[in-house]
Amino acid sequence: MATFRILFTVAAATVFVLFSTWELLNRVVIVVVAVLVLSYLWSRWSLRGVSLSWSIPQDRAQVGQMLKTRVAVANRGLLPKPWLEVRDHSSFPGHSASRVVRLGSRGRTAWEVDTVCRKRGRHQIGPMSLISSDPFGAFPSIRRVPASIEITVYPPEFELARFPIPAGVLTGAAATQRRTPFVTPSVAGIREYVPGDGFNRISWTATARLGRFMVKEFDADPTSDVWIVLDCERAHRVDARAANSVADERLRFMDSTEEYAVAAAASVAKHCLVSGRGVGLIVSAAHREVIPAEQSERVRVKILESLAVATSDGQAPLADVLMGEWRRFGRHCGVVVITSSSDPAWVDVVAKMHAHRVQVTALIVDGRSFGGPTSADANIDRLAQAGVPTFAMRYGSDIGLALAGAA
Amino acid sequence: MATYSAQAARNDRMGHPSGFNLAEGWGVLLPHIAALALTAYSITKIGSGERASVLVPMTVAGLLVGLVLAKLPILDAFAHLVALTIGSISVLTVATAHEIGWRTILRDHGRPVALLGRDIVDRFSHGSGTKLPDSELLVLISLTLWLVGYSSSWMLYRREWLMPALVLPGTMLMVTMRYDRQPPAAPVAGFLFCAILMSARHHAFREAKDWGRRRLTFPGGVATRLVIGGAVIGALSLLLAWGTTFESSSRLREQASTQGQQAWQKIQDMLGKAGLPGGTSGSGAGSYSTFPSSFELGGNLDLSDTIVADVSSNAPHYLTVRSYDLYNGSGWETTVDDTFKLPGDKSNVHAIPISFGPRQSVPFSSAIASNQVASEASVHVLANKDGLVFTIESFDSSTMPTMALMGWVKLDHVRIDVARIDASTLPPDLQGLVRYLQQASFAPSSDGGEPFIVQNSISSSVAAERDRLKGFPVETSLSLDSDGSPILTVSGRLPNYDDIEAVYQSISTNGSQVYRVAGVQSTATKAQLEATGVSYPAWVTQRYLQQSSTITSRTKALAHQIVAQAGATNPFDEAWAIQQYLTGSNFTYQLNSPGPPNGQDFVDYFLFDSKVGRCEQYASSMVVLLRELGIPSRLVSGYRVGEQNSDGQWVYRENQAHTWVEVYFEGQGWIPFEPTKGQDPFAYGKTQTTEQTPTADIGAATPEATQVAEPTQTPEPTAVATPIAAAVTDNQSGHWWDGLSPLTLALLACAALIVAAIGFTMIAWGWGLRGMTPTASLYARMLRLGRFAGVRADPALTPGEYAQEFRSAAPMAGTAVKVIADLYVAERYGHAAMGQEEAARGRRAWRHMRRNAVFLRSKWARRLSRRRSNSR
Repeated sequence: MATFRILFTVAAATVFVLFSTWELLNRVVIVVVAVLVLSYLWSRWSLRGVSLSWSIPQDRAQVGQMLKTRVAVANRGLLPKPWLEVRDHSSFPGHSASRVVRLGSRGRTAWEVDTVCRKRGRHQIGPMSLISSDPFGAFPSIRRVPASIEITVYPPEFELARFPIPAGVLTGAAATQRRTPFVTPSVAGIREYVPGDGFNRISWTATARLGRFMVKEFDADPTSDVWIVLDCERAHRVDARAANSVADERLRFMDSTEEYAVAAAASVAKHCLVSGRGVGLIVSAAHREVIPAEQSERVRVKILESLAVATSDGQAPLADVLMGEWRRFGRHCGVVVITSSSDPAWVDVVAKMHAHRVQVTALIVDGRSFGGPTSADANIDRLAQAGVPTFAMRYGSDIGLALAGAA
Repeated sequence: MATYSAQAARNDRMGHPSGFNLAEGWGVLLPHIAALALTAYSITKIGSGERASVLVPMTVAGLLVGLVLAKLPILDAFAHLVALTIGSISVLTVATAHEIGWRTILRDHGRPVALLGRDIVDRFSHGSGTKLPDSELLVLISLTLWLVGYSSSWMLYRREWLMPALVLPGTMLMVTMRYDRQPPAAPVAGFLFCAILMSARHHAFREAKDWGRRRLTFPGGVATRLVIGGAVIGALSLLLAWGTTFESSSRLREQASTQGQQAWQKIQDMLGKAGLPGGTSGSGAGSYSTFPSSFELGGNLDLSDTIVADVSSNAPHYLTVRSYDLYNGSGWETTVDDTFKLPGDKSNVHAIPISFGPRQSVPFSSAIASNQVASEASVHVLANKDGLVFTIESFDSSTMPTMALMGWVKLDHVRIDVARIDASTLPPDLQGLVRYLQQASFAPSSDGGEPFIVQNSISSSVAAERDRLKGFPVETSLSLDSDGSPILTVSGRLPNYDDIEAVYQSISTNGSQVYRVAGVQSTATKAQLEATGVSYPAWVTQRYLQQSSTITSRTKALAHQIVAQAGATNPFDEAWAIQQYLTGSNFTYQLNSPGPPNGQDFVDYFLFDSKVGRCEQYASSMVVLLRELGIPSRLVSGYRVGEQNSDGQWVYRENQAHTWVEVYFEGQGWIPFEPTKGQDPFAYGKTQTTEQTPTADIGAATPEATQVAEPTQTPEPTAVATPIAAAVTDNQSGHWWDGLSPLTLALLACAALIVAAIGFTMIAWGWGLRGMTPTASLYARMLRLGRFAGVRADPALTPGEYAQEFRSAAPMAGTAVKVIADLYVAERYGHAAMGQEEAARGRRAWRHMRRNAVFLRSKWARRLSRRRSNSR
């Protein structure tokens, strides 16, 4: 539109000068129009030949970690740029690489921005804009650089040294009858080699004996798996201000029951995996997400990826979720239910599961401590009465400590 | 680096001054002071001398007080009250001090200041018809300027309004300039430059404040660089503005004005014929006062008293601008183009002006060159008249390069007996060649062709002369007659230096300018003029005895009756008798008088019916009557003599535009006559004394008035832009646009540009759509329309998402975008060819989008559409 405006102005001024007889006024009009036109051209050229780029050495981070961004602006043109504003439109919380720079002829400049990851989720670094204008600010010139880099920020994982992992009921030396692609101490049998099988799985004795390549098959390790059930029902989410007085910096970025629940889930998953247990995850958000139980680093990444974007937008009550997923939980499984729900229905389901020898542990985020209307105390009492190990997390409390002793 | 730093903290402070730091920067304050000082200075210049010298300091003081008050954390109203009080006291004190001195004020403990204040209050409270004394006027002007300085400062430093801070003093400056007779450009240029510097620095201040508010780090020196950039832009703009000439604009303006007047006259004529109110009798309403190449007589004139020129000369002169030879019954025109045209030339061929260098004299023919005296004048032109040079008498030379529009004489196989002819009797352009030939010895050619010249040096000079003549074009051939004497045969056309019609500046400037002009006039006395014969050159009789077919028999009879009654028997006496008749009691001078009824000759109407008119009626009548008597004459337009100013210069104003008559006398050339009633007749018989101009020279030495010598060297006949030969060739080939007016040409050029733009747009629109399926083509066109509407087609977007984005950005596109996107998706990913029904749907959708295309970019239309869709 600026082009149209300037053309219109020039045309109007030309007509004026053509038909005006006051020479001095004509000259004033010419000066004004010439200043406008030159300013317009200056503005159009102010971003010509300027390139903007940014880079990040990693694409994954965890809440509390530092993210380093390097931004570079270069002027390929001969004309110097008196000022250029780099405006950062990143969605990354707390991140801003915006800055005003000055570039000489064929000059370049670069700077680094360190940002503490405050919020889990998938965030964008970029897009950015280059802004400049003529010396009078009459024609701002903006160029948007649409590129962006996606960063996934995982939830924090707290040390749970004293959190009791629910033990599954396993009969001794029984095969689990669950094949696993990993090498475990439990060999299930041998079969003929097929292309793609790893060489380390070749049974050389059987190969020598039978005269053809044979490979071993393994069963999963006969330890009980732990299923983490994360309740993301919207109705029970409570937001609060971030707690600034806590010692652990990571807790300062946690400002809702959701964040505590997610951090607890991530911490429990890590704790179990470190302890050599297979871990599965059920997230009951708008869409239910199930990550089958595995015992590997890969599943940890899967769980963190899922937890990074988990939000309390679910509609299904936790009781329904538990009822629906019960079939997954055998007597050999441990179940950790993490919720901020004050609904008593899910307590009944957990009590039933417990009665059916499913080893259930409840981690309750007390919504009242976040300023919510209802307290979780009643549920905690009922769970205690049912013999379900229960842990309560309150606003500002250290998750590691909170999960060290039962409520 | 953290996003907030010490630099950002420093930036924060920039928006809030601390100590002597001026947040806006000294780069704003200093030009601000200069701009206001220039405004006050311009008023000082037209003010009352020494007293007005206080205006500049008072204005600057107002500005500084405004700055201090603007930065203090006090209430606005209180600040204004304080400023008004300080201003009033300061102004009264300074004005009194100018009147009686500081010592007296101190001695009387400030009582005179209070008395002056009381006088002013009394004058305004009780009213007084007497003229305001200078001291009180000075107080009022000073106080006004104080307040201008204060308010400008307040708006800039308190409110941060740059434009309002500049508009008030700028307007004052321009108003002052409007009332200055010769406004100097420097204050305006200086003000503009200061304003530009202020704008750049103020922009830097605003940006720095914004960056500080957003806690951005920014480098130092940005403000300096912006000011330098602004200064460069300002300097270029000022150079452009003051280097621009407005000649073309004046021409276009005049053209438009003339055409507009003619169109309006035609409308009035039509109304008149139909008997409707507002109609006229049909007389043209052109104006001689604008000096066009032709004009209509009559019409109302309302000329201003704007000064056109100041002339320094020893004696008052009529300023001659141009002359006309053809009276057509309702107006005057020129046939100079006809004298130029050779057989075969098209009707749109125009006479080419001849260029003269500075101080280069016109080589008049020997027929009139004797008994001529030169006069010189220094002309200061204040209102340029389309580059026309104001001359005195018959134009002779000027201190600036000029181009003279003149009649041409045609030569058709004219035989010149070289040996016997007096070269000085020939046209000036032929004299050089003939003189060379007269010195040459000839030997017949062996092949029967042209004789060759024995002397090599003369031969080359003759060849050069003949080549020069070809440029006019003039073809020459040499032969020897029976007795061996050389005969030069000449064919073609040559400029007639005795027949100059108008003189233009070679380098046209629209501003005021100063130049000297020299003119020549016959020194013949009345007695000598009475003794002249009636053997006129052919070009004189051809051009200056033309009569319109509209001349009535009673007009012709009147001419003879006047001279018979006066007993005049020679051209001069006859001309004098007619002049006397017209200036006598028979006629009344009236600036605006009704024109003749339809079809009646203008002169006839004036002489017999209305007997009321202005100079053009008088002059036209005299020319018609003289021509009836066989006396060649022409109508001349220019300016009559005005009053003399205090510097001794003769002042010519717009309302002194005038027409008079020049009569050609054998051997004397053009002699002026004044037939308008109320004007003094011309004096004849100038002595050959030197006219000294009373003012300082303009650079070149003032030449003595000299008897015009026989020209030995004729001016180089170069055409305005191209050599004559080339110009004539072009004219002969002719261009269809030659006869068109500049306005028509401009309109045609605009139309051509529009057509070209439409054509280019259509080609650009169709580019790249070839080979596409109808659906893909529709989608591609939609993407282009989206780009026009500002909707970016991000590669990451699916067609459906793009359609959604399109609709949210431009809701007036409606569902059409979705229809096209769906069709495209169906074809592209579903491999479903578009059926007839889908094709029709797609076309309908596209037509809907195209109809709304104009509004897609309109924010207003978008807002309206969004509001409608929301309300739905």
